[in-house]
Amino acid sequence: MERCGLYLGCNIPLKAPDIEQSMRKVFPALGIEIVDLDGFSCCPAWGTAPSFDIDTWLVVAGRNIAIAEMKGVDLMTGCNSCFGVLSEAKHMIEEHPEKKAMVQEKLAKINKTYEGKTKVYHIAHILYKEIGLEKIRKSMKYKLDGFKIAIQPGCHILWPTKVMEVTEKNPFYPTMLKELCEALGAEAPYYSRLEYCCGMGALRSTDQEKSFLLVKEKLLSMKEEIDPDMIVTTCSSCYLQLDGAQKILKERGEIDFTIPVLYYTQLLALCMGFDAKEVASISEIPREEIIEKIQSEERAQ
Amino acid sequence: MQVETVNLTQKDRKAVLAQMIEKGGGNLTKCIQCGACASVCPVAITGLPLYCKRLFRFLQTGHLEEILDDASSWACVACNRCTEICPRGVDPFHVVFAFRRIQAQELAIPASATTSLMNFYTTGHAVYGDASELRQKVGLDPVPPSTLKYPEALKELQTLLDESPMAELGLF
Amino acid sequence: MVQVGTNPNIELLTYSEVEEVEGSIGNFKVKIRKKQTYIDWDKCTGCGACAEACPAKVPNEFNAGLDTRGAIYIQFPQAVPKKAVIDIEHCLNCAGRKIGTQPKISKKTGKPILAPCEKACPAGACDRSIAWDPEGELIEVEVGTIVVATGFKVMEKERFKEYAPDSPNVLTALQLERLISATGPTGGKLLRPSDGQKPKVISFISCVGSRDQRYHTYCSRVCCMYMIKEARLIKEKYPDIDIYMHFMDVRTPGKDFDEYYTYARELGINIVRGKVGGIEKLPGDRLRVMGYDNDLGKPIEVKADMVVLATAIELPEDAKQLAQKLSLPMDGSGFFKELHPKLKPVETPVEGIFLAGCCQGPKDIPDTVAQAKGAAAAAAVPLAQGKVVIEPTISEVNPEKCSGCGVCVPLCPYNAIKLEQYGDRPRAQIDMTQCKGCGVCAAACPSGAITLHGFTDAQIFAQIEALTKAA
Repeated sequence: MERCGLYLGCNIPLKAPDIEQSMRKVFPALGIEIVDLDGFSCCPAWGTAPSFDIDTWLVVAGRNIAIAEMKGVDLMTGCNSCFGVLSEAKHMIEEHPEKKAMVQEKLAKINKTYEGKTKVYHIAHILYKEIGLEKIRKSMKYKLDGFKIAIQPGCHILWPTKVMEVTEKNPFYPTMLKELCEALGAEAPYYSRLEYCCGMGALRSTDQEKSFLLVKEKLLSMKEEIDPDMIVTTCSSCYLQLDGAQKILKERGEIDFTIPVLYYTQLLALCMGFDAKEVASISEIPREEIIEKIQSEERAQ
Repeated sequence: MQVETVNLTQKDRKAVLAQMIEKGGGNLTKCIQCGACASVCPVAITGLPLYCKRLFRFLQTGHLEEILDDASSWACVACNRCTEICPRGVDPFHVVFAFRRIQAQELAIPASATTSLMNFYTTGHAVYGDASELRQKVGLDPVPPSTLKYPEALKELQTLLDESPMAELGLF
Repeated sequence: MVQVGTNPNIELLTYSEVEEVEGSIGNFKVKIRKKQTYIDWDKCTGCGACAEACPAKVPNEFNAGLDTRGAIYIQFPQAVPKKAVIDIEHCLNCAGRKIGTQPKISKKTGKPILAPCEKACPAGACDRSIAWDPEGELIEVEVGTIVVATGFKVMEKERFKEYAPDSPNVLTALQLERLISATGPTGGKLLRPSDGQKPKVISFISCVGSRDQRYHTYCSRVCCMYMIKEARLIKEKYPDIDIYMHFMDVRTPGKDFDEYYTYARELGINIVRGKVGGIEKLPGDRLRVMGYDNDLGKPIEVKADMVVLATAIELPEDAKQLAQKLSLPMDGSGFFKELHPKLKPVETPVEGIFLAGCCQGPKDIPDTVAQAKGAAAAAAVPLAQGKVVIEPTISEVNPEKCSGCGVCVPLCPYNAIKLEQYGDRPRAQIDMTQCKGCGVCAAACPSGAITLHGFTDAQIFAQIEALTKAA
């Protein structure tokens, strides 16, 4: 793969654009040209079209996929929700010929064509399968030896496996992100709530306090079982929750620690030597200290 | 005062099932109430009342009006862990969402959902906020290459939404 | 089993496999391969000294992989006959000496340097210099009837991804059975595989692979009862162990079974109705069981030291190959199909072949014994009578018309048709004891040489005429 469409979604470009910038830095540096999906819209998020009308869900998702298809590329996304919504929609469209015909007919009215050639990937899949651990290892300027990472792959990249192009060997005990972190030299041990929901998304918007129960459970499991230097995720929703809710829990005194949170491409970009001001500068839990440690002279290769 | 016994024979199970099938939740009948989905469901774990398994039992026994205003279904994060482990192939996520669609039809929608729907229609992004300053700070174009940058693309999306049954709800 | 071994009227062929079956009721010819044991069984006394001396380490099948055996071994202490065999694939060929080669001679002593197994054998049964034929011995027996009783296997835990299959403390129920057996890997002590410590909390999970569309839709029938048995054995011996049993439903039909179950509740065993959805691995090789309690109406969690999975019963792969050799059909669940679910429960579509035990479907010991006795009696009847009753509506070949094309041979679902030399060429011949009168051959015969009695072309045309007239 030489080129890939980057499907940004909503959270990454509008809430955490430093994550977007980190992707725009690392992928070309690792040999994959990013193709912008001009005119894309929200995937559509679970709480929008999927909650109202299946066909509208499929058409809007189909339009986003069609933008990539018309540019002749597969697409990757860094938001687990977008990945879930688009994968599920593509699966439904391809499984049901009548749905495919419906999507094609509606898209034709806005001069879009959908054939189903474009595959939907998560950026973690591209990093793991297309680029590979070896290339990542070789690209590094700063190695993470001695760091301990709590990984958070997030739900939608794990289940349901039947709608995905790439799956974990065992989706209940995922290892792709673990291996990606280990490739940077860090340690990424298992903790018991690794696959546990962080509480973001619909739960957070419907009942914030309930959503905090889950993220607190997860943070405590990380802290008590492995005491990590940082949390690394490949889901932008998990990122916002682990970073934002953690700060609130700390302020309320519900937890007595903080753990900095990084999106994987942010960490990778830092390891590759990119400027933290561009690739990792927006967060609730301060990251200056950990970034300084990562990009320190003694770690330089 | 009235006893709380549910008189099952007075419930119109067929009518409820018909609505569920129409909204994509026909697998409701496959559920044998084993509880596997609920054991790992974020909605159930956090103590919201109408999580997957319990919701399905209400629907299977013909309850609909009684549960129409409950917001639990809107807390489903669509994690699909239930789908992966369900021993009966129910795809619980799809059944929960089918119920949501019935609720939506009756405008039993939480405020957060109407806000994001409005954002979705007017900007193309369900999660929206002016990010131009943040984006420039990290060295990006102030506007992402989405419907925000291309008005004709937003028009395309709005055309699709205007022609969908969702438009009838008058939420955008 | 011992009685079978010593009965003068029973020839027991162990370590053997059926290769081919020919013929029909009363005249089956069965080719059997007696696998090579590499041990002289006439001399072997079953003392087990060779097994103790063998340095190889192979997962022990009999203990469900919980410990290891040597490459030379006796399958289990009560094996009949109690004789050793060499598992040649795993033999380490000590001192680089392959089986069938002469030992080196020691320069010091001038005596041959023997392998540990040879040295250990006091009976001279283990002689590695003999050039044993790896193919074993092919024998043929003639029998009148056949009873198929292959038994079953249980699913391995690796299939169940949500239940932490890589944790050593997640066991199948069969593994637990070996763990608490006096002849098992721990001599009957209940110890966790990870650290050899006594568990304080144990969770049992039912319907693992059974009643599950992803694997098998049928109920394995025996799990509820054997789980309760295992739980009770543990609870009665170690009352301080906390036991949780997660059931989808508790199914205990059978004489005295429900009483056995309700007493488990009285003993303090926690019965939880609700399926477990996941297991998380806790520090110290403990396990967090994520379940649901239907009666509380809440998700529940149990921090367990050991988890036992009641994995589904299924037909082993080699039994499926046997079914092909016997031309026996399988049912939708992957077991041997009986001729009629109610009225011919031990018979098969092949006259003279009968079924007994779990090869026909999951069943417990009382049901298996009852069915096996039924199958034995059914298999004895034609032998005692010396003749069989055949159906009147079977097909017959007119050899004069038959062109010998052979189209009918593979079509016959009962393997009843063969090409036999008749005059100048081979022509079809139908074994009347095997034919069930389905008519497939008669319909397919391009020469019109096959007639299904009672359904000749003329008779069928007459019926059509009568029917169309009425309309």
